[in-house]
Amino acid sequence: MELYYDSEGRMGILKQRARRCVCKYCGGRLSLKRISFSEIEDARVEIFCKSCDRIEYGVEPEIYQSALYFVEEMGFNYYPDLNQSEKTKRMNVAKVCDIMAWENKNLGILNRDGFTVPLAANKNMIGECVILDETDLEDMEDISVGTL
Amino acid sequence: MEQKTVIEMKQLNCKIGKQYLLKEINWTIADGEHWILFGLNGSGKTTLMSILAGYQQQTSGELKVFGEAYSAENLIRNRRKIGLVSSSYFDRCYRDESVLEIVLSGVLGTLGLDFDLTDADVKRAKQLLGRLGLAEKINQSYGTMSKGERECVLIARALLAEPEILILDEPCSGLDVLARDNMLHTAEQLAESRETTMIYVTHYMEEILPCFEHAVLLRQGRIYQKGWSQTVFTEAVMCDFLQSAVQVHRDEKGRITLSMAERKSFELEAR
Repeated sequence: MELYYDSEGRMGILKQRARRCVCKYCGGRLSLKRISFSEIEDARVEIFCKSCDRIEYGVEPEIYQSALYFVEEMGFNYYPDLNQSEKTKRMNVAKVCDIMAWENKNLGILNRDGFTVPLAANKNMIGECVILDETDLEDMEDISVGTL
Repeated sequence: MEQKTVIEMKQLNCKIGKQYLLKEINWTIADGEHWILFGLNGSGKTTLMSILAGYQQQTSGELKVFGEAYSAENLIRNRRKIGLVSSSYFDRCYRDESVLEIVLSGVLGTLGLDFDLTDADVKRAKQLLGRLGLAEKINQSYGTMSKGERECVLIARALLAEPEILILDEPCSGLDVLARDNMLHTAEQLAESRETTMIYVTHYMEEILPCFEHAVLLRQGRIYQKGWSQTVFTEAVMCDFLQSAVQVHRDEKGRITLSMAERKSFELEAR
């Protein structure tokens, strides 16, 4: 079976991703969390969304903003059989994020480190933006050591 | 031809504080063998299996999987080769994660996802979930599923990586009679159709299928006896192991059942 990544570099990759990406459900910040009891850091830590309380790999923030716009403004609904609630909306946004990330990856403009091309996103679509300062970025470096 | 050893434990201990969860475990498993791990509640079965699968670590002693001890370099690589199906363990890790994401994490040997998952992985995960009757539930969150459905999700997660060792940790626990029968049938099919080394963990004698030719009895964190199932599951051994008078029956297919020779009863005082 193909090996997907060298486990020695996994922590570095997860840290970068947690710093750069957002939760595809809520758009919130991600952090690293110790999930299992292994003494080997690579094997016990996962990217986590504290707000959703779930292991979450995350998406690029630009993808999340586009997906949110698509669901809110274009009325996209992948789950017509479910009651329309905040949870269903988040599931829809996450679904659009998956589709967009898949497409961008296959077009070759998205890789493990983010977008490979400069983006000129539609400002109307991006809507609200989050401004992070140095303190925020430092906070995001911290690894939560709480276990489930 | 001599079989290759895939798992080797020597004097393995696991303790929390001063309490031993596992003590002096010595157990060798050869490639392609099918084992039953039998023990009562709290005997350390899940702890032993999560250590074996690399999701937890022993306190002391030696564990070699595929000929090497777990290390930072090989842990995730080796975890991919071991399919752990244990709701006792994964219920602690997963709750709101979607079914598809959980199954896909099996390819990686992690609990979360990675960028390099391929379309083939996703297609195969969906196929597996379809075969297990969960095609309509791939977007559902783990915590909202029934016990039986969660077991099937974990089986799909384990099988996706085409593991060399498959561990089924009490897969029938909490299932209704039909789901239990289906699960046993699935376990039997897996044991007969694949060359995978399998460990089936249970505390019910009725789940001991004839295709599991080896057995280990675990009591209070120690191995009480191990060997061929036919020699382990005898009346004399089981009476001593359970410290209770029991009768062991085998049907014509080799299925084992156990009945209490004398039943302890507890009288409740009328208030």
